[in-house]
Amino acid sequence: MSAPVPLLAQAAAVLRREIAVERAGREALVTTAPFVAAFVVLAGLAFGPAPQQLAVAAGGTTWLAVLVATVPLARTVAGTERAEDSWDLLRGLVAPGALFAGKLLATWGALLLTAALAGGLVAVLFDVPVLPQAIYGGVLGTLALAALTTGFGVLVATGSRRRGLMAALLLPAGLPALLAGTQLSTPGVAVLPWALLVTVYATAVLVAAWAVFPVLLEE
Amino acid sequence: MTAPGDQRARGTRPTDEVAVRRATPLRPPATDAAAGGGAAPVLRLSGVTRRHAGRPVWVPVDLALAGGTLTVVTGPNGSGKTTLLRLAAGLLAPSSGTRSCAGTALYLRGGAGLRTAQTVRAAVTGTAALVGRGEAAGGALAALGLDALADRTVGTLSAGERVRATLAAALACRPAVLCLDEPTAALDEGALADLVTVLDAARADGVALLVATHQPAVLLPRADAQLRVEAGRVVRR
Repeated sequence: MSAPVPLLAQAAAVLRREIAVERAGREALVTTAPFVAAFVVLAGLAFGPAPQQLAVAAGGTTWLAVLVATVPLARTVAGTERAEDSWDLLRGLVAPGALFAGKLLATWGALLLTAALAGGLVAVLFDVPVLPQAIYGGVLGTLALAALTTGFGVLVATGSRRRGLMAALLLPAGLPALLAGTQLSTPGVAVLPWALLVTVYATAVLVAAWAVFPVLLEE
Repeated sequence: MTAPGDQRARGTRPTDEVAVRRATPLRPPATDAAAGGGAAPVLRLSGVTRRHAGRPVWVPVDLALAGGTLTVVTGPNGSGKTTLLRLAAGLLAPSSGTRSCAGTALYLRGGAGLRTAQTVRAAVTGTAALVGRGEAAGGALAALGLDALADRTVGTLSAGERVRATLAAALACRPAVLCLDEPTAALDEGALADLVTVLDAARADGVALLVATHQPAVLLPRADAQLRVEAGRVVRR
């Protein structure tokens, strides 16, 4: 029998597989990038054209786009795998911890790119600066949302729950990331309380998702 | 999960006993032995039951599979074949009883298991890399006659080709047990013959095969045991 693969090495293999599958199929890209671009442009039209109004709405627009993008992204965690009958093989080969870590990292990467795309478009179209604290909030906020997306993605895909539940589960649970991310992206807002909120929230969600993930895998 | 080890639950009470006989001497695996070299079972279910929504799906079952054997599971639709295979693979946790497996047990439904957007080569290599055996992918592709198809995407393969590609990925991972759920369903005669050849090779490598099928005729002559399943219990043969 082959020696067991260390958890980190197996998580890295899962991540490489996720990247390879995305490069081949571009599922996450085509489901999120056009949506985020359209969302930001439409938000600009809705909130503009006054610069003051756009500046106020900029942070919220970015984070609403990121939060709502978690819903289609969640399907790439396990839903598509089940639809293609590859989930059982993956589960059979990979330990739950490594599966969680690999899927989490892949989802986090996708959300970081989503946040960068949304934030970049907002900065250009709304003519607002990107604040340093917004980057801190972006990194931790997307990490928390990635943990939620990974957990709920598996929960909905492996159980008898309907896919329509995804938005009802994900969007309220991601509210702290939306609030903290928005405030950290807005000039003139006190940084510390919101930075603390997103830090505590990301830590709590990550620990909780890690703890319950093996249970979520059970059918 | 399917990781090596035991899954235990309370209330072990075996009723059906299935002793898997060995029809041919076990050939030692080519390299590191996933299935073990002796007669000891690589997979054992002891008094395993499964309940779903409070309703018993499987009565207590004992099952022991030795490496290098083929066990064919037959039975009508809804009789519990898939549940038995998923219990054996560790994808379903027993409601009671214990499961032990000396190695990795894999479950494949209908011969599928690879991401359709990837090329065969990328899918097989990526799958084998999950257990640190990415270098074994090339050999598995060659052994299953997939070299000519290696650069095609999985989604463009025929049913028979897809079964072979999935088996290449699974066998490159060197599992101890391979549970195949209806692998023959969409296969023509030629693809069936290919499947039989692949399964023979897997047995020769020491893999214990547990195959559920509605078309047992082609597999039964080479099987070490047949399990007839009805209403969540094994009917001895």
